[in-house]
Amino acid sequence: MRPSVYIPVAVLTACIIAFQIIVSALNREFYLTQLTMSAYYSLVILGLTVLMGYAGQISLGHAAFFAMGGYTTAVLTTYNLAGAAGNPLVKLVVGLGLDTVSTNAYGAQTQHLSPWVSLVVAVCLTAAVAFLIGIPILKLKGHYLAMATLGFGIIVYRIVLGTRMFGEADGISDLPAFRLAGGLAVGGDPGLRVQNYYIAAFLLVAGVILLTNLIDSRPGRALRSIHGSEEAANAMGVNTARYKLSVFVLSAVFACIAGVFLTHFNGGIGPSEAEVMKSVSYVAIVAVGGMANLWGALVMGVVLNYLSLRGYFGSYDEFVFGCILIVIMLFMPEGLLIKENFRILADTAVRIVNKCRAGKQE
Amino acid sequence: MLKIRNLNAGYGKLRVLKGVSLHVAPGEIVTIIGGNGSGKSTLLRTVAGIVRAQEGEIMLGGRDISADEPETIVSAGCSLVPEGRLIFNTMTVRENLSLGAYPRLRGDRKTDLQAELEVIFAMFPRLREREYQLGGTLSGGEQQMLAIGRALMARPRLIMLDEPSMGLAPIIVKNIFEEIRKLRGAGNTILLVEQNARAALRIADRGYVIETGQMVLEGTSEELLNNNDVQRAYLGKEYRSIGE
Repeated sequence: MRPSVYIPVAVLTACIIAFQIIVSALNREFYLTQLTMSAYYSLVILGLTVLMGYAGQISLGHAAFFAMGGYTTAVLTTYNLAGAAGNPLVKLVVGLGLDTVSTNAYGAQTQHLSPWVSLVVAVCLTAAVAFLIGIPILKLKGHYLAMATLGFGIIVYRIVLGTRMFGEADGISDLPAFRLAGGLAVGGDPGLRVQNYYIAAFLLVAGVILLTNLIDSRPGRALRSIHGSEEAANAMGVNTARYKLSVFVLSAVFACIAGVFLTHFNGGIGPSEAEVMKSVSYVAIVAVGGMANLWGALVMGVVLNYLSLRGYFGSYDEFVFGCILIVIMLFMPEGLLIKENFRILADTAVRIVNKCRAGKQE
Repeated sequence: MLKIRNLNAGYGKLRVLKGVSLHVAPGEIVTIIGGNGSGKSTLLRTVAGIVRAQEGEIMLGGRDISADEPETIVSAGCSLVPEGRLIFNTMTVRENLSLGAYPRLRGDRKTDLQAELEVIFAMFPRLREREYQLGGTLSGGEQQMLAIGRALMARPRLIMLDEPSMGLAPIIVKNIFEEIRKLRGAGNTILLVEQNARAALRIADRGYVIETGQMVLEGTSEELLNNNDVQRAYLGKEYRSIGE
């Protein structure tokens, strides 16, 4: 970890802990639920920021990667192994000890695949899909890349909406909790609220540390050079095709991991998670955060998702994110959370204070 | 150092280079002059591997690089300073230069990098003043210095410059060409493509004239400067004034 990361990470950690203490003291712990969800969505946004802001490649299909993570784990961990004990594959899974037993919401015992296994499967599957579609579509640039990724997102949405295995329009529910080590579990039980909040926060902080280190490294410079000019990067000896593909896979994996954890936390997933508007809102949040600004994306990701999940935008949710995208593109292409805006804010504050002082003296 | 034989290259079905041959000896400055669309830039981009060679061979120090990827060619010691400089605007001067050393710096070798940055800063003191400024905020001349410095960071055996005079004030062009001459003094080999034929021939040892993808003339700088056709087509002199 580089010294420049210490302070923001410390501030972020302090904020996370302070919020939990305040909310618990006020007996309002239900706020943590939406904050946990926002943290997972922000993980998607962090991955997308590296792809869009730093490497300069747009993706309007990230909700699809998120859904791939969520649906993979949903299908695999809701399959009742006890009901198919004769199947050789099931025997193998049980024989290897890859199963686990949980108590579902109705108090019944179920034997199912361990979420650790489904997490690994989901990550491998998503990485493989991102890799395979990345090879042809990352040759495209600008609008064409946006359209290709949009098309991919629509395909995935239609598949989950139309497939019996994925629960069609109902989605998949009754997922077991994801039991991590040391008694920690990712699940929707109200008793798990506080620990889930910290699990999500931990993943988010770990993600941001990982990505800031990546950005400041030699591969990070190479990524940013691709954003500047692909041809010049090429002329400098950077293998641009490989880098674009790697960062695309990396950001897809971020979305997938967020999908796996959030689906276990929610206990289910529906086709709305794969909707194109989801992808658009991710892109909008990256833009508001300031494109090449991990911290801005993180803050805006948590704040905007939280407001959206708490229902502050009501039925205008998609309208709000659409408007945000338009306003940002027209008036603040650099994003909202950039140094210049803070300077303007500080200047205005100083001016107001000075005016107040002058007013008092008179 | 560089030997190109019967090179054909182009974009899609369009053939831009039609059987180009040339050679550059170690320690030489060789310039290629020609008008718009004559294939000068395509030639350099083909040597750098950005445009694929369709036919012919490009020997760099005894090895054919015509089928290699750009990153392999940079590692083999041939760096391009691209047309229009193509500075990374959102990266600082320091980061731009560090990126130039990209193929050589595997792992974290910070001390080495600092020493090499010092070499470039000694050559272009203006870049040291602007070390932490974004590339996009530099003037055109400074950007050209940065582009050259960035290419040098790869420690090339051969530096190819694509129109370093583009869009610069005459006084700045003079400075840049002076720097290029100094580069040769430091033991570099240079292949220079220019529209500004007079400035290029003044510092070059030899030159080629390219027209519609074919080499039409070759000679020492002296010979080319005194050649009637060159004078008329590229140096802006009329037959009448040549005759006088």
